[in-house]
Amino acid sequence: MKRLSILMLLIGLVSLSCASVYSLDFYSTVAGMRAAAAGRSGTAIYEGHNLFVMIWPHRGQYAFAVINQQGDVVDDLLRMVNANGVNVYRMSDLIRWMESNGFKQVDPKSLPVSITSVLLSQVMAAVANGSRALITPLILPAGALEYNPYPYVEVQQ
Amino acid sequence: MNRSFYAVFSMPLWFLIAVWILLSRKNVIDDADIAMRIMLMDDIYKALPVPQSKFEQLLIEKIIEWINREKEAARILNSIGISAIGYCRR
Repeated sequence: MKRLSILMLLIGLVSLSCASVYSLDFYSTVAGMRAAAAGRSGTAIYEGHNLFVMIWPHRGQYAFAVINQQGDVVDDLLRMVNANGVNVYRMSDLIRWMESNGFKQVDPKSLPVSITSVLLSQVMAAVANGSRALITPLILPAGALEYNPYPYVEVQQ
Repeated sequence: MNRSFYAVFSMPLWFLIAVWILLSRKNVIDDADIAMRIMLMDDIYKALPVPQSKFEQLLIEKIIEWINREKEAARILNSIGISAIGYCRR
């Protein structure tokens, strides 16, 4: 059973590295959204119905994130992309659908400050780079660094 | 007693990873799916075996790092108010 677990772990790791099985994780979503918020080339932001749709290139495909909830519109959008009876298979189809449903492309500067400040903050940069150094607080009592446990003792010769 | 409780209320690791691979085939996930993935990551974390060799130690360390990184990113996505993430062909 233990060998089987290790084998499955290996299969899981290999499948994570293959784009065909699992191509979008939370970590790459954070990095892509940061790129879109910074206005990098190849990214786009659409606004409509109080929603923001961020689009960025990801491993030969296009990834997107929908920010802010507005009930039915999000459901419609997801139904379109899941292609449950609707013919959206490519990003161009999705953009055409969004533009015909009241979405329009906007400048990254028009994003709300609350979203931009979170996405482009230092902590977010640490997460996007895979570091937890800036998130781990280090609390020391006042004067702890001045305390010397081995005070200098003068040796008499 | 503890061992039988563990057997009843937790899933074996190979089963959790199989579920993970099957669930991750969706090209669009909404906030409920995100919550489900976080729970599944927690279960995988708890089901990880104690490493017996250097190779297993390296493998499990990498998985723990990956889980921590994903959970931190998911927490931030939640705080922004993400409704869905996904991908399409060009």
